[in-house]
Amino acid sequence: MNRNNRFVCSFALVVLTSVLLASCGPPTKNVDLEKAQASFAAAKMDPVVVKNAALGLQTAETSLQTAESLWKADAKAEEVSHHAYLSLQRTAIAKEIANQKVAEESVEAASSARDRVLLEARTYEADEATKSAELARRRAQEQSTLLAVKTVESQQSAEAALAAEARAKKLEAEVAQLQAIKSERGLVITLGDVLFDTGQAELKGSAMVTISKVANFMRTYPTRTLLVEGFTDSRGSESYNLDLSERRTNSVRSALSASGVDVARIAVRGYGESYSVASNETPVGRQLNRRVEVIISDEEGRIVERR
Amino acid sequence: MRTLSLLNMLLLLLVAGSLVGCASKVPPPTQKLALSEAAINQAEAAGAIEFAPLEMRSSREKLAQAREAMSNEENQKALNLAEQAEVDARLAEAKARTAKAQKTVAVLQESVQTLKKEFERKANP
Repeated sequence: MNRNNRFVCSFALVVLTSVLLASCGPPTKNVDLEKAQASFAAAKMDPVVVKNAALGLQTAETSLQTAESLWKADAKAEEVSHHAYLSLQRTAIAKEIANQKVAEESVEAASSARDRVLLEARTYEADEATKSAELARRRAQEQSTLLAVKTVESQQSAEAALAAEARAKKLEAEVAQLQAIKSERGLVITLGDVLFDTGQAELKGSAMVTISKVANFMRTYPTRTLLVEGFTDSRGSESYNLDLSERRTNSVRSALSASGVDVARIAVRGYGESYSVASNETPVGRQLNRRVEVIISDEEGRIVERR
Repeated sequence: MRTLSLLNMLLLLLVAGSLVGCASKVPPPTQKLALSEAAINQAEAAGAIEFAPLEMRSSREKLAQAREAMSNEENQKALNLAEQAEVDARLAEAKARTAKAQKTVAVLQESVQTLKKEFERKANP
């Protein structure tokens, strides 16, 4: 082999080696790698991702560096793209983890806000319960006060009823003493003609018992008034009889006044022969017709007039 | 001649080395496939089928392709596909967790609003 041949051979081998080494691929542009680089760079700029997913970013970076060194070493485009893809996905995972952390923090914030509101509501309800308990207590107190007042009142009214009953009994007794007759017009006391002399208006002394009884009664019941009505039988002239009846009622009034009854409380009417209560044909009937009736009013001083 | 042939031998070795470097032997990535499958299961358990259906589909497809490549003894391809299936599954899982957390936030915030409204209504009827 001559020197020239040897050189050619050596040169050819060197060229072949270079060609073979270069056959793995020249460093042409790789779109996947560029995409992964851009995505990683963006994530690295995001403070939320940096803060919350440092580890995730690191794994993405490792993959990216692998892809880059493969690319620089002219590795197969397929291999570079594979590692670029891994890096791209890992960057996405890092972003998701950051989002997740943010969301979890929001969950905590929201749940503590919820607890706060619940606490507020419970505190409010407790306050309300205290308030309504206080209100109920006050109402109960008012009720018991009211009850006490009512008890006193009912006792008083019971006492009043007892007193009224006692008064009624007393009145009854006094009325019985008066020997009065209860009529629609009131209590009627009849003074018979035996208390007057025939044709005379002066009361006999025996009438004074009845008069003083009536006077006593009138003192006890100062709101009551009296109506004194005089009647005769039909003997004698009508005008005489009328005059006689009037005179007799006046003498009864005078006697009552003398016993202490104010004359303003005593009304008088002379009716003469009118309003006979029995027949004037018989002596007994005539005697019954000759009379003076004293009518005691009700408690308001009312007496129903004759018609 | 001897030195020259030594140089030639070296160059030949380099040539052979570069050829081997371009098509290195890779063992079957059985473990990697198992890892990817586990990642998929974990993502599904986290609700990724509902919240990240795209990533889940991509992950499953890649896992199937990886199996096929391995049975064809294309081990490098199988390894790459398995790796991609895994990151896809992990992304799906992360997305599902984020979505769930965000959903929880929304529900909580709504309940806070409801509570506030109810409370205000009670306090100022």
